[in-house]
Amino acid sequence: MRNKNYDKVFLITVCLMILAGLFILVSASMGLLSREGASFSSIVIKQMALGLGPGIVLFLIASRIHYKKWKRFALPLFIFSFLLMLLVFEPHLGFSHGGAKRWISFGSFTFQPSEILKFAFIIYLASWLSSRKDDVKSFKFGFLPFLIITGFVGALLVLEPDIGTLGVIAITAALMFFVAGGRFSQVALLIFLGVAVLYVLILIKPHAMSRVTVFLNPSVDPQGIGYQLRQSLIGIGSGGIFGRGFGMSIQKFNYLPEPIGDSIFAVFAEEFGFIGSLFLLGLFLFFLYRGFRIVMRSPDSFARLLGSGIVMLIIIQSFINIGSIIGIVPLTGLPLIFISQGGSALAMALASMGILLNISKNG
Amino acid sequence: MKDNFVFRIRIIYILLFIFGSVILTRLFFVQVVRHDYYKELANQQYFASPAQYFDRGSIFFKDKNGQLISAAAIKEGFLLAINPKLIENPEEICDKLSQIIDLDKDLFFKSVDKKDDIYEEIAHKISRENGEEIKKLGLKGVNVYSERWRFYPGANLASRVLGFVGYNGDKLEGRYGLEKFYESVLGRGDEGEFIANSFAEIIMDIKKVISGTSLKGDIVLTIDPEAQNFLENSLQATLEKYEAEMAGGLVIDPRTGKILAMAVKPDFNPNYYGEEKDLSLFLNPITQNVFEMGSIMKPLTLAAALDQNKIIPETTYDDKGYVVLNNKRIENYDAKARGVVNMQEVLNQSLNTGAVFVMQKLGKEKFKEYIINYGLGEKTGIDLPDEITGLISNLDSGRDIEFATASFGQGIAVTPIEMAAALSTLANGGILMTPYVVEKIKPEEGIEKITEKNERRQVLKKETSEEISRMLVRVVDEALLGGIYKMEHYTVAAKTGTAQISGAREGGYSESEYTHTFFGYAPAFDARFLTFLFLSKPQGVRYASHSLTEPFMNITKFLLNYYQVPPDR
Repeated sequence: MRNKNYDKVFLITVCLMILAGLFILVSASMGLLSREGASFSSIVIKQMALGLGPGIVLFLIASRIHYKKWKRFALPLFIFSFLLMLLVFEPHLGFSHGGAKRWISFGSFTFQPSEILKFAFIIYLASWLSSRKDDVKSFKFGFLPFLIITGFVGALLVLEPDIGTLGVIAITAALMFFVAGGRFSQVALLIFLGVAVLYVLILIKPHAMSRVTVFLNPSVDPQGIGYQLRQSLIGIGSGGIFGRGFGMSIQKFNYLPEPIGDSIFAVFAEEFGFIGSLFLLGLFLFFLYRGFRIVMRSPDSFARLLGSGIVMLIIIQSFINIGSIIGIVPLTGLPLIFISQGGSALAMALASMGILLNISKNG
Repeated sequence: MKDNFVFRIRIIYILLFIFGSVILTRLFFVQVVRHDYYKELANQQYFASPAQYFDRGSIFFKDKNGQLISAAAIKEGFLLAINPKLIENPEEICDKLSQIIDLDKDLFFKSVDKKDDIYEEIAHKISRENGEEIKKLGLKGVNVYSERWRFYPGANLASRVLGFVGYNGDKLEGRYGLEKFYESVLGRGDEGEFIANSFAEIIMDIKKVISGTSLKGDIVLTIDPEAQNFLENSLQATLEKYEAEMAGGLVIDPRTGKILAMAVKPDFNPNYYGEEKDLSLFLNPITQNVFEMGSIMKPLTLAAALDQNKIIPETTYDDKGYVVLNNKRIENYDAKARGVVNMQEVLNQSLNTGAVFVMQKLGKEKFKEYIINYGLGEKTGIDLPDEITGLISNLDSGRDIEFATASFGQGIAVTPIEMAAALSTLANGGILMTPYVVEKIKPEEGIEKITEKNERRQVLKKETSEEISRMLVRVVDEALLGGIYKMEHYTVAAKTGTAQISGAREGGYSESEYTHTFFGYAPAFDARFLTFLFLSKPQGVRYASHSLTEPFMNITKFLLNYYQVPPDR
C-alpha cells in the first residue's frame, strides 16, 4: 500500500474556514447584546466548548481511524442515530424551539440529533451503495431499497419538522446514488419524486407554504413572513463592495432575525462586502475542489462514495443556506456549516473532516 | 469503473460550481450593482428607528391611598408610510384610509406625487387597532410601521407641571416641566447613536455601570389626581366666570412642602402640543411668573412684627385712612378713616395704613430681614425647571415709600411658589420648607429614592405662627364676606389680596387691571394643606373676596372631605 501524507492544503482550508467562522460569529453575536440580553461571550464560549472542543477531539480520532473501519460500523451507527432522532419526540428529552422539535436535552446540554443522522446516513449509504456494486443499476435491488431507506429518514425529518435538513439529505443521497452508478433515468425519476414530495409538503405544511410564497414574491408583507429575507437583503446590499467593516453590521442589531443562526451570512456580507463574499465563496469552492481531488485519488468505491458524500453534504448545505439568505432558494433554517452558531453541527462537521483527511492518507 | 466515477463526479463538480457561480452573480448584483438601492432602504429603516425604539420612564400621580395613576407613559402603535412608486389608485386608497384614520389628504396627495421616493410618512400615532385594520386592507404601496410615542392619559391634567417630550433639534427629549427637569431620570438615551457605533456604545454602557451615575427610572409625583382635578375644574370655572386672563393655584402640604396640586389655566394638551399656537402656555407661571401679591402680604408683615414682639393682636393705632411718605399718599382701598383700631381689624378690613404702621413699628431693616428670610426673592428649589426669583430690589433703595407699599404687597413681585412657601411658615410653626412635586424615583433596578422633606430655616417662632393663625381664623369667621363661609367644625385661616397691576405708564398702576390673590389653610392649627389661588385681570369684579372666596372654600371643603380630616372644633 502506498503511504501518502495527509492532504495538508485541505487541512489548512478547513482550518481557515473554522477561523473565519469563529471570527464572524464573534461579531454577529454582538447583535444579540441589544436584544435578549444574551451575553455574547457565552455564545462564543458555548460554540468553543460544545462545538470546537469536542469537534477537534472527534476530528483527531476520526483522522486516526482507518476509513475502512467505518464500513463495519455503518449500520449500527445509522440505527443508533435513527433511535436518537426518535428521542426528540420523547417529551422529557425533546426540546422544541420555534415550532420545531429538533433538539434533545440532557440537563443543560442540548444537541440536534439530525446533525449526527446526516453523517451516519452518508456513511451507511456509502457502505450500502459500495456493497451493491452493479446492482445499483437494478431497479429492484438498487433503486427501490435506496428509496425506502431515504424515505424512512425523510419521514422522520418531516415529523420534526426539519424540511431544510431533509432537502440537504435527499439531494446528497440522490447525488451519491448517481455517483455510485445509478442510471440517468432513475436519477431523473428521483428528481421528479423529490419535486412531487416537496409539492405535497407545501400543501400540508402552511409554514413551508409561506416560505415558498415569500421566495416567489419577496415583496409580500415586508413586516411579516418576508421580513427575514428583506432584512438580510438590506444587510447584504448595504454592505457594498468593501463592507462596513468588522463588527460594524447594523442589521444584526434589532433588524435581522437569527443573526448568529441561518442569517449569519448576511451579517458577514454586510461587514465584509462583496470582497468578503467572494473570499468565503472561494473558500467553499476551493474546499469542493480539494475535497473532490482527495475523492478522485482514492482507489476503492467506499472511500469515493463516503468522501464525495461528505464534501457534497457540506457544500450543498452551505450553498442552500447562502442561497436562501440572498433569495435564490426558499428559506430553510439551515445553519451555515463551520460558521453559524450550533455546537452539534460544528462537531459533526469536524468529525467528517477527520474521515476525509484519513481517506487522503490511506486512500 | 473508475473513469465512470470520475466522469460522474465531474458532472456534480460542474453543477455545484454553477450553483456557486449563481450565488456569486446574485451577490454581485445585490452588493455591487444594487448597492445604492439597498443602502437607501437601510438608511430609511435606521432613520425611522428612533420612533420605533423610543423609550422613556413613566410619570405617575399618586392618590391618597397610594394608588399610582399614569400621568405620562409610552404608547405603542403605528406610523403610516406610503411608497409613491407603487401607488396606483390614490383616490381609492385615500377613501379607504380615511374611513379608518383621520388622514391629512393634502399631505397624502402631495406624497403620492413624489414618484422618485419610495418612503413617505403620512400619518403618526395610529392606534394598534387602526394599524391592524390598515394592514388587513393590503393596499399596495401602503405600509404601517411600529411606532412608540409619549402619551399623556390625563390630556390637559397638570400639563403645565408635566411639560412634554418634543424634538430639540433632532433629539426627542423633555422640553418643559417635569419632563425637562427629570430628563436624566426619564430619558433612555439616543437609540440612534448606538446603531452608528456599536462598539463605542458597549464601552459607554460599561462606563456607566462602573460610575453608577445614571439613575434611570419612573417618577411618582406628590400630586394627587383627585385634588388636581378638583383644583383645575375650580380654576377653569373661575377663569370663565370672570373672563380673566389667567387663573392659577396650588395646594401644598405646609408640614412637608409636598405639592398636592398645581395648575394654571388656560393650559394645553401635551398629546397635541404641536398644534398649540401660544407657546407661553408651556411655561408654568407658578414658578416662572412674578406677581405683586397684594394684601396676602399683610399676614407676613404682621407675623414678622409679632415675632419681634413689636406688636400684639390688641395693639392699636389711629387710622386716618391714608399715610403720606416721600410725598406720596397711600390710602386704604376705600380711602376711609376708621379711627383707633387693633391689629385684628388691620387683617379683617385689610387696612393698608395698618400694614404700614406695623412695618414702621418693626423697622425697615428688620422688615427687610424678614422678607428675605421668608424666601422672597430667592429660589425655593422646587424640582421644576427654570424657576425664577421674585423682585424685591425696591427694598434696596431704602426709601420709606417702598417699604410701606411692600408691607401690603405692592412694589415687590414674587412667584406664586415663593409666596406659597413663605405663607406656609404661618401654618407650620414657622419653618420655611422646600416645595417639591416628585415623591420618589423608582429606578429600573435598585431601591427607590424617596424625596425627603427639606427644612430650609426657621423663620418664625412657633408661637408666632399660632398667633397669626388665630388672627387669620377670625378673618374667615368674622370678616370674610361677613363671615358667611365660616365652617362650624373646622378652623380655616385665610386672607385675600387685590393687587393693582403696574401698568404701561412708567411707575404707575393701571386703574382697571388687578391681580386677585387668595391663600388659606386648614385645619388652622394643624394645617394639612395650604391653598394659594390667583386670578389675573378678572373682569366685572373688583375684589378677590368676591372672586376667589367661593373657589377657595369649595377646594378646602373638598380637601377636608377627601382626606377625611377630623373636625377640630
